[in-house]
Amino acid sequence: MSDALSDLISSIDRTQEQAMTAMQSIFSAARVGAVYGDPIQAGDYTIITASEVVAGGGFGFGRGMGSAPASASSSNGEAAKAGEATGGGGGGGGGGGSTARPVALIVIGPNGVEVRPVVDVTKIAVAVLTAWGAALPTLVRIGQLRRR
Amino acid sequence: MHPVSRWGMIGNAVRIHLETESAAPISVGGVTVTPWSQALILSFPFGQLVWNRPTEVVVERNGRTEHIRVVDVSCIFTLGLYAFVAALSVAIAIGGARRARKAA
Repeated sequence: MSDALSDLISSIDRTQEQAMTAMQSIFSAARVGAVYGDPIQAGDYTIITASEVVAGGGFGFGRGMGSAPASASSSNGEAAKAGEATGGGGGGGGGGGSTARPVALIVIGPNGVEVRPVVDVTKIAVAVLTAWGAALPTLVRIGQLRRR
Repeated sequence: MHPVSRWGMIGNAVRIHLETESAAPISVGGVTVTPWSQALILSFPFGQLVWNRPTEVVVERNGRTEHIRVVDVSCIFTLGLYAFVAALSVAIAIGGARRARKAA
């Protein structure tokens, strides 16, 4: 039984180490290298991509151990021997994700350096649909006020 | 260039870290370009959130230095749209409340 508890404790410790490693990889999104790509040579031009990076993650662990209380005295009045019973448990979990979106292109050419913004059509379309859905009750309310 | 780091705390649990950092300068045809980025790092006891975005590009040419800002057009448009809808909703709500008070 004590071997099983030791195995449980060591497996929880290993999981915690893996979680810390995962958190370090999330923290790597904070480096400037995550935002700017490697320069790309295209003829007389050098292009560098600039992106917005969002990353997040979390984890939780728990473990508990206990031992059985000493058993009650036997019927003949003698104190019974305490058992070796012990118990334990543990658990852990975590999750994370990241997203990157192109923001601009840095173009270095014979005419100088230019920063060209990238228009994310998908993001704008989703924003328009969301705004339309949020504005619909307001527009209905305007119609009701006009009818009065 | 050294990274600039600022941090603060919310209560005793959340740590806010704002880090401004530059990438390695790139030299092309007599022009040196240094990209800069800014990262907002929220550290919780149970996890972390990182938001990293490009801010500006520093161009050095013929002894002159020029700062070119990186503008996120898509983000500005979406935030402006949300702000407009929110302002419109608030204005309609206030107008409706005033009309109701006048009618009463």
